[in-house]
Order: sequence, then structure tokens, then C-alpha cells
Amino acid sequence: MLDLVAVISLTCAFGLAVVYVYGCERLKGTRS
Amino acid sequence: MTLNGWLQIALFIAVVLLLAKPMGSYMTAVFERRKTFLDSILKPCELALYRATGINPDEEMRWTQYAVAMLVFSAATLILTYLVERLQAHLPWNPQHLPGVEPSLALNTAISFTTNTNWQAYTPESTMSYLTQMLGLATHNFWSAAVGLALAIAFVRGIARKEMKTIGNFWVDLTRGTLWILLPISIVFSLALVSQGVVQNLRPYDTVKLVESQAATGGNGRPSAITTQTIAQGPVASQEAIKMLGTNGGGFFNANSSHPFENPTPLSNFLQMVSIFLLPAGLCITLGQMVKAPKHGWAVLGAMVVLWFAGTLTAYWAESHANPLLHHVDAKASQLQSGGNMEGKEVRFGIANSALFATVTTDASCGAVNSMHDSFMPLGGLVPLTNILLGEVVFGGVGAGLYGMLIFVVMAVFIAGLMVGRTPEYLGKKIESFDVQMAMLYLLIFPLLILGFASISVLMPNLGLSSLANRGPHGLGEILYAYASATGNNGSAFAGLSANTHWYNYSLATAMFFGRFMMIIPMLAIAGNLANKKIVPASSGTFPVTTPLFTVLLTAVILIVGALTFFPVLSLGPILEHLLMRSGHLF
Repeated sequence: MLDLVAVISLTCAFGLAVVYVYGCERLKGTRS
Repeated sequence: MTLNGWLQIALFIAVVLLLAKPMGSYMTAVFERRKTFLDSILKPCELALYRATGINPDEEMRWTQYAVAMLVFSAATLILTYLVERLQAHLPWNPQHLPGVEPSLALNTAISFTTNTNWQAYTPESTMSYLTQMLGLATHNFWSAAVGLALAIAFVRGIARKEMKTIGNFWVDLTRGTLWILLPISIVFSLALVSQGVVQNLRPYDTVKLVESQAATGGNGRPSAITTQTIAQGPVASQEAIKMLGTNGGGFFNANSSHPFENPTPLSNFLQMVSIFLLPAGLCITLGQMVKAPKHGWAVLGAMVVLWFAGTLTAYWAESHANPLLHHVDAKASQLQSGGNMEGKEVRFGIANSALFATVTTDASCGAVNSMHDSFMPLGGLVPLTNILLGEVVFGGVGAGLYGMLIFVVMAVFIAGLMVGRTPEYLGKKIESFDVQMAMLYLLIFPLLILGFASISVLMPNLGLSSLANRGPHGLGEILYAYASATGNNGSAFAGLSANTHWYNYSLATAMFFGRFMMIIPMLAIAGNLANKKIVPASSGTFPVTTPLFTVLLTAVILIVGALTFFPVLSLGPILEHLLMRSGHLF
């Protein structure tokens, strides 16, 4: 059970990192 | 401090600086895909790997593609390591019949080695099988270092290129870094270590009879006698070489590089220290060559040497003095005694080489130790902690040190631009709001993780304080060090903190993960943005980045950012501990 939680957590964490990549890319188009 | 000690320190930095240029030139050739003397052996291996994996080596990547490729590779290898750890009881090369690693520890360790941290919340010789050590951990020593190299080169390409949308191919950089740089040097270095007595075998541990039995207390509280000792061994040299070269730091044994099977002689110790700085120093030269401004590479290396020297001087000075509360103790160095503070240090290395090793391993994000940092005097222990808190940009981890330093370079030229009231430029590229936003994101994630998790640990006694050996400012230093080490992907421990608890395993794993990937991504965003820019011709108002003045400004920016961020917590930790020690309080 804990193994499943670990693998799902890791998948979510890496998924979050990918979202972060495209979030940074989108930020480039905005003016502060 | 002794002349002998200073001569050894001078020899060390002289060898590092002498090797920097040939190493840097070689790495430039490797990453620019120019001819090298190893091509006849390695080129066929490289092409076979691309064919097997369907990689087109001529395909270039935008920064987002580069980042996603890096994340996919890291995720796949992380999960592989986790599974190897959990299943080691059913896999071969487990002569000690060790059980599978407990889930929270397996997750912590898998993240630790994937992120080049090599934080070890376990005793390796009694937890990890030979297969886990080799397939799960040593492979990550290569991969995580190769990822760091690739990322640094991608950043350098971003600076060097003009009006291009791409920064290279992650898979090519990863493959070439591993095959041309890490693997050949590790093979030669392993053999050198074996020549010094570092163990390399796959035998089960030996049990030997003690010459003299030792008195102990048994589990039932009755006195008993210990008559045998288990001698742990295994494939140490092959792991040791890449552990140092790749600035990984995870020891085959719990005692790390203070263990006589990992680091048996003063010469092996010297080689290990040089190997930590070898690639980071060479990368500065690579930077200069790839951006066609060799003096800039030397200027960056100059800032690193200044900060390294300041740390070494402080640590060596602090450790050369014995604890002032030990009255009537002759602490002077002589032919018969080392003098100073020898607690937690190996006699074969002495104070100079222990202080130097501690400084080097935390300047870089290595984390190997040949002495126990927890036993250093408060100001001696402050040096490794400060080195990590400065972002490990003083030489730094393989690749990570250079790209961390380049973020500070962006900040330095930005501040220089503010001072003269014009748009900052870096090697002909205008530094604009997006670049500064990403640089600030990079710089802010680091203290947020360290101070956030350390605060929670201190404020929640059941979580953070229950496994702490020391209280007061020393205890705070132990917790702060753990999170700094994890977030900075260093991996050395201050000791005194039993970190194999659910809270520390999960929170440190989170700090390692976000400290690695959430800082890499804004760095790559800057690289991609810089690659896309035009080159502006230098004018009389351009701040030159090749002069000693630039080195001074860069050093000052690193120190000011570090001091403003972490001085309050350091004053409550090691600095307060030093002052209280002077008034007779120990922790």
C-alpha cells in the first residue's frame, strides 16, 4: 500500500514539475 | 595551524588550478562534439545507444523540451531505484540476506540519489545489498552528475547562442557526459584508490575473532563479552571514485570517507579532495571557451577560489584551537600530538586535511565526510553550514555549481546595471525582467524550503525534536544543517540527528526533490530566454565581466544574498553556541 502511495506521489510530483515548466514559459509572455 | 598544514592546502589548490584548463578544454571538446582521443572507443558505443533508444542526436531541443526530458529521465531512474531497494531481498548479490528497505527510507534514498544529494538516513553496510549499492545507488552517482553536467552546458549554450530557440539535446549531453567524462576518469580513479587499499570485491562479510574480547551489556542487562567482529566489505572502490568525482558523497560505509576501506591513506584523501573540485573547476574554463570569453571563466573561477580560501582559513583556524573549557590541557601541535580539536577526526588525516575536506565537500555539493562535522568547534562547524547556505556555488556540484554561480552572475550584472542606471548586459545579452524574475525564483525557493522545514521541525516537538540528540543552539544547528544539506543536494550530515524517522524521511525527501527540480527549471528558463536574444555590441557603459572588479562584485553579491537570508538563523545557532561556549555552556 505504501509503495503505491510512493509511486503515485512521485508521479504527481514530477507532473507538478512539468506544469511548473510550462508555467514559467507562459510567464515569459506577460509583462510585470 | 602549522606550516605543514598550509603547504598541503597550497598543494591541493595548485593541483586543482593546474588541472582546470586541460579538464575544461576536454569538456568543451566533448560537448561541442569535436574530436577527442577517446572517440575511437566511445563513438561506436554512443551511436549504438542512440540507435537502441531511437534518439536523433542532431535534433535540438527548446528549453521546455530539455526540462521535460530531464524530468522523464529522473522519474524513470528514481522509480527503478525505489523498486530495487524494496525488492532487494528477492534479487541477486545479497550475500548478507538483507531484507527489503522500509518504504519511507526507500523513497528518501531513491530521491536522495536521483537528486545528487546522497543523504543517507541509514547504515549502508547493514541496509543495502551489493546489487542495491551498484544498480540502485552507484548508477545514480553517474546519472545525477551527468544530468548536472548537461544542465550546466545547456545554460552555457544559452549564453553563447544568439537568436536561437534551442539549447542542445538533453539525451546527447547526458550520454556524452557519462561516456566521455565520468566513466573514463572513474575507471582510472578507482584503480588509483585500489592501489591505496580501498576494497573492491563481492564477498560476504568476514567474521573475525578479536585479539582481546570487549566487555558489553547484553539485551537482558547482564554483562557479556564480545569476541568477534564483522568486517563489512564489497564493491567499494568502483563506487568511491564516482562518489567523489560526481560530487555525490554517498558512502559505501556509514563512516563514509573516514572509513579505512573507503579512504585509507593521506594520498587517497588528497586524490578524493582533488576529484571533488576537478569537474567544477574545469567547467569554469569550459564556460569561458564556449562563450568565447576565456577571461570570464577565470574571473568566475577566481570568485570561487576567494570564497574557498575564506572557508578553509576559518575552519582550519577554528579547529586548530582546542575547546577553551578543557583547562590545563596542552593543545599545542607537536611531533607527538596534533593539537587543537581532534574530536571526530581521523589521526591519519589530522586537522588541516579534516578542515580542508569539510570545506571542499560543502563548497561543492559532495557531502562525503572524512571527519564528523558535528564535532567541529562552533565556528568550525559554521563553515560547512555556511558553504551550503551560500547555495554551493563555490566550485559547487558537478554542473550544479556552475549554473548556480551563473544565477549569481545574472544578479551581479543586474545590480551593476542598477548602480549605473542602464539596462544590465551579460556578454552582450540584455538582462530583462523575465531573467531577473526567474533568477529570483531560483534564489527564493532555496531559503523557503530550508527555513520552512526547519521551523516546522523546531516548533513541532513530536515531529522534529524527538530524535534530536542535542538541545539549544547546537540542536538548532543540527536541524538547520539537515534541511540545508537536503535542499542544497549536499547530503552530508551534521550528525546528532537521527533522521530515519517518518517525518525526517518524508520532509527531507521533499526538500531534496524541490531543491533540485524547482531550482533547475527557472535556471533552464533563463537559458532558453538568453539563447533567443540578440547580441548587443559592448559600449563604454557595459560592465566588463572579465576583470578582478567583476570577481569582487560577484563575491560580494553571493555573500550579501547569503548573509541577508541566513544570518538571523545562524546567529541563533552556531554563533550563539560559540558565544555561550566562551561563557562556559556546552550543548
